[in-house]
Amino acid sequence: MHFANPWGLLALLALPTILIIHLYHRRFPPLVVAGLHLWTSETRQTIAGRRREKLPVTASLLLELAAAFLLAVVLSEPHYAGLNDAVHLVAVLDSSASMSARPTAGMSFRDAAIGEFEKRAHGLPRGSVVTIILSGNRPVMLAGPAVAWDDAKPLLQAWQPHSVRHSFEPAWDLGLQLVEKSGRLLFITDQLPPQSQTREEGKLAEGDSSDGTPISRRSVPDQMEWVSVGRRLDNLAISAARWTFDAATGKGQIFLRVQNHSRQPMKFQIIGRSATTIVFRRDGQLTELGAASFEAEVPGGLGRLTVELSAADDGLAIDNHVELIEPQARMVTLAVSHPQPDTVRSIRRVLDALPEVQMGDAATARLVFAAAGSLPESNPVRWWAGIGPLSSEPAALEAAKDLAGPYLIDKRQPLLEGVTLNGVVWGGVQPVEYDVTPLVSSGNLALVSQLNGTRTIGFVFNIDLARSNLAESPDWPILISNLVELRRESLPGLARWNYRLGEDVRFRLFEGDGGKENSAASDSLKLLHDGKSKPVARISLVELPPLDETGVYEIHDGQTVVGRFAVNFFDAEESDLRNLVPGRREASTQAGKPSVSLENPYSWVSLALLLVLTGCVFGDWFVLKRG
Amino acid sequence: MLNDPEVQRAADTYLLGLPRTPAAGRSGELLGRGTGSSLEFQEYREYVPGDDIRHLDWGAYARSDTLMVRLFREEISPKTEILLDASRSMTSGGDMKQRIARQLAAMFALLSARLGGRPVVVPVADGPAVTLGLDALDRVGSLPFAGRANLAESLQDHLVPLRRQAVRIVISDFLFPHDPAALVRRLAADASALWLVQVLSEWEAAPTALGGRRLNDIETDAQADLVLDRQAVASYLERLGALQQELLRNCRRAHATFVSLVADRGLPSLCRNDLCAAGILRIA
Repeated sequence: MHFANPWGLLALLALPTILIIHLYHRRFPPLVVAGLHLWTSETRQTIAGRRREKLPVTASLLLELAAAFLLAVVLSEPHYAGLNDAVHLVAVLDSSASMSARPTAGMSFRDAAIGEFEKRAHGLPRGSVVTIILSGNRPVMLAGPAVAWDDAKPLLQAWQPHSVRHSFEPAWDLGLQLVEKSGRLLFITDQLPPQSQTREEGKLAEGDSSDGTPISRRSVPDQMEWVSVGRRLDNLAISAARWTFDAATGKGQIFLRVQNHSRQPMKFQIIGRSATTIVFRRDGQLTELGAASFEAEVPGGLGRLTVELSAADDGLAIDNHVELIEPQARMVTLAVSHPQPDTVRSIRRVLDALPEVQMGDAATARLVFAAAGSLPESNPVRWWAGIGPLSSEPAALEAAKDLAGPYLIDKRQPLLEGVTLNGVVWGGVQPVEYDVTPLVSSGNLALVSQLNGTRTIGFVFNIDLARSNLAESPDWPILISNLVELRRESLPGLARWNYRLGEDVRFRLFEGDGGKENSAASDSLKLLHDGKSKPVARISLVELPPLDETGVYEIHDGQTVVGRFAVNFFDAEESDLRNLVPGRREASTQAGKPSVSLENPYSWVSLALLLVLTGCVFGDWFVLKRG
Repeated sequence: MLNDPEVQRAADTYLLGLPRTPAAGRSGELLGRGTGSSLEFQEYREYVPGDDIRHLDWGAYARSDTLMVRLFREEISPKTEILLDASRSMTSGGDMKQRIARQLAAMFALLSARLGGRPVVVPVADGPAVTLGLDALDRVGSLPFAGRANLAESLQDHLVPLRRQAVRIVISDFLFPHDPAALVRRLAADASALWLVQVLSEWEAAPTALGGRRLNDIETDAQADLVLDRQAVASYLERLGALQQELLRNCRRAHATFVSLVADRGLPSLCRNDLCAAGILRIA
């Protein structure tokens, strides 16, 4: 047995008080007699001083003691483990970044949510268990399933909400699975639920919640209690940040956008720091719901930049801080070796306009434009683009066809993204003898195709540019650019260095199969962030799951840092705290229970005790009155 | 009360157990203590002038030449005086106590009247006592029993007119502070016979342990807190027994009769067992 309100046991102090009262101030019930002298002839003898007498055990004394004891029991709310089934409380906590907002004076929404849940957990019957689920694109079970509150509490203290906007339904569904028949489902967030009701009752309407999150009104479970701990706050946020680098000038450009999510003008200051050095500083003022963009030129080689936004009465901190990693040039070395000068000119004309490319010899180039008549040697590092004609034999040239369409384009291929071939005359088409996969075809003729059966990434352009207007069409630079960018993307390392929270991050560790050296490497690949290390599978293209914490991440291959990138919070809807209000919606039904259920059997026990207590009081009154 | 069925039944069943020689009374069915005109010969004595010459024993004169007068027992009807304690103490312990007291007073009056006597009932309460004759006996049924003065105080203050040579029956609980010897001596004075009938409620006769109680004296309003445990009850019974023994001893000394009745047993039982055993009643 334990007591939900141990302070109620203080009422037991009434017991000795009653005893003392009965010992020294007896309130005997009257009894009318004839001949009092026959009763009291001895007791009337006066004895000097207080005489210690035996405590009279009267019905009044017993009833008053019983009443005081029952009162103490009722007030202390005793709980018997055997009398009540343990409850499984499943709590879904809104882990979106707005939950970390903090009013100027007061606790953060996160702290309020923890307090609310803690209050519920303390009110649970003994033996009850809790499960804590954090909402997100992928719900996370913070504690559980079904663990004691004492075990869950330390985990809850480590919870830091910082997710971008997401749907709550996956977390609710997980909670519904866990809550089963006897549990309770609780959702603590910072916004009110949609106005209409439940999955079963509501009409299909994508209602906007108070903060604009699209919550299907029908998706809110009936048996879920909804508690909002949010309140309206002003907020200023960095809604976008970008760092570009011009390899030609060796300088970088910082672009920032600041959004005012307040209903009043806000003054702010932005400071960009590289380590402890202030690189730039901007002061400004934004009107109600206004926005402003800033650009700042920074020298190359900074590596990392920290941008801080400061403003008075700012509700959310996570959107005031941005970490940026300096972009790195991903130079692609190209070589053009084609016997037709016009073809070479056409290719070089496009390559000269592309950024971060350099020309080299065919032995060291990452991408070689060559004649399609001879296949390249097998080399996964060196890509090959074979430009026709496939055969320079006069007969073949004469037999070649000139096509005006229609063309069948495989739009799934990144190489052909944006390519339409409208008005293009595809000339000098010859039968392809290679093992290829057509990408652009006309009839049974493959016009652009990818080589099969070789480690070399190769594309065959079955065309004679001298007999075609492709090089003069808009599709030509698109094709060449797509090819170069494809090659650039396949280079080892990161393709980008600054990401949004929740974005997928890809990192190419090596090209092709990486060779035996990479596959046999003993050092593990790790992702490091904020002192925490996470192992990463050693494959060619490492795909990191969406990261849910902001800051700078490093990819370590053994002791070598092979990549560094930053993840920042940019979510205008989460930064908008104007429509958050506190509130509560009770669960309309108990999970798996009939509509009428005994929520707390102790209330009946308490009621019975109160009845007995009342009986004792009236009995005492009757005894005293009757005499 | 005269029409009370139990009283009527008792009056038909019993006779007063009066002594053979009542002290005085009008001419009646009982033999008086003095000489009279009954046929029962008592003794001879010498003639003195003024004696009824009809009682001269001429035969004795012839034998002894002395005028001798034959004396006969006188036949009297007894004066019965029933003192009924009408104080508040007779209401304690329920209604049975006062009810039995009324019934006894009525029964004794009826029985006395059937002997040709002139019974009177004297309710003893506050102030001078009034005398209720047989014709006013119904007022006994409506006696309030509200007096605060006890019997001893009323006698001491001469508020009760005691008739000489009467058969005096006192009905009371005798639960008032008094000196039994003085009380009995006062009641027995000038009485041809004295019966003290103590009427108690069952709880007064055999109290039970009730725990702590504030005892209120019904007549004096005196209060005392007392735990009515077995020890207290035993002490009470001891004191009550001493009182009864003292009353009994003094009654024997004054040739009076004392009997204690428990009212809750009912009049028939009391008459059959207690009053007959004490000689106050006898079967008709």
